[in-house]
Amino acid sequence: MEKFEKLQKFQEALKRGKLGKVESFELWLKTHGFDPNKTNYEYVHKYYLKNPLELVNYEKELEIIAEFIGFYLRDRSDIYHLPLLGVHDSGKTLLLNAVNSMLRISNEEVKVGKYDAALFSEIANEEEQYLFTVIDEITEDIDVVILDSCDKDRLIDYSLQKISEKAGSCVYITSWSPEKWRYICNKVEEFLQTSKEIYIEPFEKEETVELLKNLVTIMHDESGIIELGIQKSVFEFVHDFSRGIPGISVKLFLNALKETFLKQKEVIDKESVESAAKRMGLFGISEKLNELSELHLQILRLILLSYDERGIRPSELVETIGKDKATISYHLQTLRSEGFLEVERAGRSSFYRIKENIKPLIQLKISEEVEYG
Amino acid sequence: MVSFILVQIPNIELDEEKIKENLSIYKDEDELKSGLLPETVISIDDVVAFDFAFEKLVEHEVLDVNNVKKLPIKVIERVPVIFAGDVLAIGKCKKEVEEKVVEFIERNLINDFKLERIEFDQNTLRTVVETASDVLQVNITPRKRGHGYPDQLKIIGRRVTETKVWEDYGDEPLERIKIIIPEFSEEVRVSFCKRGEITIYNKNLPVEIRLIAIKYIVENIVRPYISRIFQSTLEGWY
Repeated sequence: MEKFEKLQKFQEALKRGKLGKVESFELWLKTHGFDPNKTNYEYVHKYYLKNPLELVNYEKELEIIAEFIGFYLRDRSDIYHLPLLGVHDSGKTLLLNAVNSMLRISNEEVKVGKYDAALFSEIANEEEQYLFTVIDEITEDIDVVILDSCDKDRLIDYSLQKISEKAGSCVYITSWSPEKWRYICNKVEEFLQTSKEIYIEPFEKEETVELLKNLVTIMHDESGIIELGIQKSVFEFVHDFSRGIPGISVKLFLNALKETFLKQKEVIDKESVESAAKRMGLFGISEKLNELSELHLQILRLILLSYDERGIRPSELVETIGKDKATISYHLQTLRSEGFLEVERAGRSSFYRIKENIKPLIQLKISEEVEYG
Repeated sequence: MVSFILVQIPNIELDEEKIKENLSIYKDEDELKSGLLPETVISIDDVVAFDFAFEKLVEHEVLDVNNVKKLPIKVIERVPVIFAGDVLAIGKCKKEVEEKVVEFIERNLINDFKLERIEFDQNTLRTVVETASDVLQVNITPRKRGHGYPDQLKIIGRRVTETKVWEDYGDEPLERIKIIIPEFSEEVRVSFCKRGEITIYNKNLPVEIRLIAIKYIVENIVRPYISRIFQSTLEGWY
């Protein structure tokens, strides 16, 4: 290319930029009716935290919880424990937030404390763990204790016991992943009897469609009136890949929007959803899950039960499962090549963890295995 | 969070009404008054507590007609004091304030006795750790030095003595320990430093429970220790 020609092309590109002709995803979103600042998972999550009444679904779970709280409020003398069970991305935090908000805006005089158990081991102040700040804050007249992310506190049995000793009679609503709850429920039962387990089921197809329609409205650019023209079958396709897990549905839809842009299409379609599903490791995962051996499921379950965010080391699996190192390494590699696991290396150690996007699907599979067999 | 240093005293019985009457700060005729605040006197189960207070001058900036000038104003500072049998607990404060409190007590309540600050030796700290229902923190200064060994170690958590790090370093010298004392309506979290400082961490802890906790600490941890130090070469602080 001649020197002059290079300069000419550069200047033409500058002009195109000034006219707004830039191929950026943000611009594409704008011209296709979405607000780029709102079209991300964090915004959507925060939106539902701020507007709990707009949550799609969860009516059944909210009613069960409300009935128990109402029952308790008759004489405030008993203890009720409602473990809320749901896979990753099933909306447990949003549901607990909704309970808290609805109690606060109801006319009942209810004293509520809502805490994140994932933070219990963190140092809050004066070299004290956050758990003890919570214990000091709780008073005997508290009516409802809401503890989110109980599955992320390594010593949750300890924490729950201390909290229940301080709070005494009240309604305890705790959230857990199903496998962690099954693992620890007997210990918790020793001091806090379960009144009723509440299981958050995956969404039905129609519910996912409603969620995604709602999502499009939330992310819609309010400044312009643009007909988005997304077909219902696209939403249904999202549901099929996400198996009705709301968090995955939202993430898949957002990724599919990006695929639509990358493929230079005008409207999100099934092909974009499929590409996004492939990128997220969701494509064909259901079939792969059905083919998993018992040992593979056992390995995945042990990884899910680990409290280390980095994952689990092969040596821990060798010890727990009782197979030799070579066998465990072979199976870990298989699970990795099948797209279930990712590995993080730290010094001489390797940590294997389940890929974030498919974690709920594995949890569902393991729950089903426990239920049926 | 409230911290105390512990001082060994002869076992005395304090008459609540008499000390209110005789040692009240309101009856002091000095320019800068000192004494106990009678409204803070409280006794529970043979434990008597009050706030010792004293006036001091601090410079305060005020606006004059055309400039800022400094005016001395009187403020009071207060220090909690607890008598639990043969142990006196004084709220943690600056050294000069601590000396003021000790001087007040020596002059008015305990005659002809040199007050000695109590420190905890390794055996005491280790016994406390071994008998505690739960250990929440240990500060350790390992003897082993050099590459691969930390200079100091602070383990904060729950069930600290069940951890791998405790298994590895639990035999090394203890600097500070924090435990749960369970025998109250509300569990009390207390730390013991080898220099004799104890700290109660619970926020919003009713003063009555605080006093009973101090009594528990004195009877179960400090007193057995005091009986040993009479035979030792430990020297007093003052």
